[in-house]
Formats: sequence, structure tokens, C-alpha cells
Amino acid sequence: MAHFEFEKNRSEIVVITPERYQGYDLIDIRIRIKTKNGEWVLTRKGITLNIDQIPELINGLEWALQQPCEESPESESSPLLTKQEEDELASCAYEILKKHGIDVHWDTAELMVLKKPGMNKYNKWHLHYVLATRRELFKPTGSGCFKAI
Amino acid sequence: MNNQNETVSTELLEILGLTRWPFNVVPDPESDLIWADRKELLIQIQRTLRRISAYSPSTLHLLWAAFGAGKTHTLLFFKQLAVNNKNNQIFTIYTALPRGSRSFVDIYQAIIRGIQTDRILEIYQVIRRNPETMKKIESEMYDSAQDLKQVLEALYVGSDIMKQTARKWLLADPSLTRQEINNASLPTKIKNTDDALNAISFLTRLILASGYFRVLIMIDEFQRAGRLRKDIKNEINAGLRTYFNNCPNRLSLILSFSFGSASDIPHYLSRELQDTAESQVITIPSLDYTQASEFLNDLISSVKSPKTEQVIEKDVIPYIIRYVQDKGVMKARALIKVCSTVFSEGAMDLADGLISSISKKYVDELLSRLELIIDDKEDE
Repeated sequence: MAHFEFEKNRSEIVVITPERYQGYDLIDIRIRIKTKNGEWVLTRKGITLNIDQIPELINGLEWALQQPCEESPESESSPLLTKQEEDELASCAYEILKKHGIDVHWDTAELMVLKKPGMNKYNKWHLHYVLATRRELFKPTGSGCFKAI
Repeated sequence: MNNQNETVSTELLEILGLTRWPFNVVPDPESDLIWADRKELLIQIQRTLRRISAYSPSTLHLLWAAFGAGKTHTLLFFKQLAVNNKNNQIFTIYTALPRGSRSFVDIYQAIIRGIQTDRILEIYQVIRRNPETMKKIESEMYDSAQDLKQVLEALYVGSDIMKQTARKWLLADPSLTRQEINNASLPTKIKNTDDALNAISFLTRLILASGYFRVLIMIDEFQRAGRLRKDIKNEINAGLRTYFNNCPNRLSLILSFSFGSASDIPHYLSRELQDTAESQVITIPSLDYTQASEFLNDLISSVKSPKTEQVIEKDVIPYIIRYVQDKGVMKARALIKVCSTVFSEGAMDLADGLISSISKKYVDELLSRLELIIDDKEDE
């Protein structure tokens, strides 16, 4: 069956599979692990959603991408970027990464972009959001790395 | 003889009047490397070598090159000069930052693979004959010296299985089991940055004590650090800095980078490493037309014979340079790639009697027929 997968870590893969079950159109997101014998097997860890719920999942993920990853659950939400701010940050990041020429982890991109004049009003989570969502400008190359297209 | 010569037959080399094949995209560390053009860079390298062979303080050098401009070739040429350095012997190690490094242990493994355990054994044999030297190192680095001495003894006098285990220990091979370690009576294996730092610092002292004036470690492809998470990158930076502190004299590190602009280097290094580095970055920019012309002429003149000028017409090289320039990728690697294709195809057509010489018209037809991929931003 056609599926999309990406590496979670050296022993786990996230597998995303569109499927039909008892007349329902579903998207299954599941962890595949490597056994001691070296075989890859699907586990019970995962979630199956009706495709009608996927846009909401994407909205939720996009919101989460702009939020600080903090240990304290009481942390305040990060203000969301306006369209204008998003464009400004994306344009600056694109220019810098394009000139750089190779893919970098977004930690390194943060050092390159947010130190530029006028960019210190944004935080690293905003930058990550822009890198992860502006697919027309940035290509994810795995393990948190991005490259300007 | 280099590897490329094995794939380009003697017959084809003779047809072109070449003594050996000069167009190797990936430099072969085993072959005599040719330095083509870039005289200022050559002077910079020679002066750096003179400095590190004359003064004892440890040094950290940064080398930046535009994509495909000849970074690895430059490093290997530097290594060749250092190995042949007559004044003070330099123990030179070339390695590359492993992809997806997780800690300084990965750098340690890469360095040990660069040294090779057989050379470590040779060094140990020299030191073993001089107990006073060993005592001095032991007094300086007591704990790690005891562990390493045990491993090196196993490598020197142990059974074949013990030797194999000692090799795995030195390489910090993750597959080394507790059972193997116990059977060979070796200390706990290298599993973290501190262990790796102790081991590499001890081995560096051992190499220096065996008669070398300096240890020079070249870590190529350091731009791969930019793909690592901040905590891993910081840990590798801190490991290099501590290694440097552990060996304040007669150690040189060269970190090489390849990306758009040399001004991006600071994003890859901690403040401490930046402060430690030499202020002058060795830079290898892209070529202009004149430099490209001198580069190819130097490359060919070192291996050509009078016959070469008969079979390769004068306007061929300028035509190739303009072709590469028009593609917007004026880099040493791109020039070598195109030359490699043109002259290997040309040699076969000469051998088959299809042409009597390689002319501009022939090259034009050949390049318009072939789809050459020359804009390779390496390390993908």
C-alpha cells in the first residue's frame, strides 16, 4: 500500500498510510520499529483519523509549530505571526539560506537569520514555523534541516 | 599510480600523449597531487606549514572554499607537503566530520580511523623502548595513561583475539561487548566525550613523544556540523576546545568548510573556538576566466608530452572554460569534470579513427550531445 514515512529516530519510523476500512476513508499514522532480528514491524502506537479530521490536525500542527517548546505547561502562548510578518521573516530567511547554499539545521538557521538587523523581534519558533510551512521557499531535508529552494 | 589511471587505459593515455590522467574529480590521497595555479593560496599554505613546523604553540586554522573550488584537494595537498616536510616531522591525519554525528565520540572515531591502529602500534613500539618517556606521559595523564597502556599492551603482545578487541576498543566500536572486554582484560570502553578526550589526548602525547614535532589533524566537511542540533554542535565544539586545552603545544587542527560565504563560518563554531582560531581564514574562492585558464594549463602541462599539442588543438581549453563559465559554475571541479568527459571521449574517437585531433568543433558537438551535470553542490 502507498505510504509516506520518515525517521523518528534510529530504531523507529513514522508511517503515514491512506486506507479504506469498512467504507471509511482513513489516514493511519503509526510507528514502525526495528526488531532484534532487523525486521521492521508496525506497532500499536499510532492514531487513525477519518480524512475529514486531517485539516484540523494540520491546523493544530501549524499552530503548535509557532509555539515555544517549554517544560512548564503554564507557559504563555507565543503571538502568532501576521501574514506581513510571516512574509518578512520568510523573505529574509530565504535570502540568507539561498546564499548559504546548503541545508542547515534550524538551530543554525536561527543564528544566521535572527541576528540580522530588524529580525530580533521574531523568535526561533516563528522561524521554525516559517521554515516548516513555506514549502515554496524551503525544502525540509530531514532531521530538522532545511534548504532554500 | 592513481586510481583514475587504472580506469583510463595506457593506450588512451598514449593517444593523448599524457603520462597520467590529470582530471580526477575526487583527489586520490595515495597519488602525487598536482598544484595548479592559485599561487597566492599556495603561498598561504606554505607559510602556514612553515609556521607550524617552527613554533610550538597549538594552532587552529579555518579553511573555507566555494562549492567545488578544490577544498579537499587543497587539504590533501597540504597533507602531502606536511608529510614531506624536511625540517620537523609532522604527523598528519586527514578525516571528515561524519554525517549525523551524535557526539565528540564520532569525531574521535573518525580521527582514529584516519591514524589507523597499525600506526598507533608502531608509535607505541617506539615509546615502549623508552621507559622514561612513558613514565613522563603517565605522570602527566595518570588515569587515562593506565587504561590506554593496557589497551596498547594488548595490541602489542596479546593473542589475535586480544589484538582484535584492542583495535575495537581504540576505535570506540559500539559493537564491543562487555564479555570481549573482560576476556581481554581491558578497561571500560570509550562511551562518552570525556573518555574519548582522554584517549585522544593521550595518543597525541604519545605520537609527539615518539619524535614527531607536531600532530596536524584536518577535519574536512565541517559544514556538516550545521545539520546538527544545537546541543550536539555545542558538545562537539566543547570537545574540540577541551582537546586543544589538553594539548596546548604542538597540535594543529584544520577545520574546513564549504558553503556560500566564508562569513557564515562563525555560525558553526562556539565563541571559544572562534577566539582560538587563527584570525586569517584560508579561503578558496571560485575562479575567474584567467585563473581557470592557468589552472587547466598547469594541470595539463605537468603530464603532457609534445604529442598532446598535436592531438588537442589550442582553442579547445579556452572553449571548455567558456562553456563552464556560461553554465555559471566556474569551479575547479566543474572544469575537471568537463575536461574528463571531453578528453576521455576524444581519446576513444581518436583511437577509433573517427577524428584526427580534438578540435573546438568536435568539443562543441560533443557537449551539445551530452547532458553534463556539472552544478553539483556537493555533500548532498
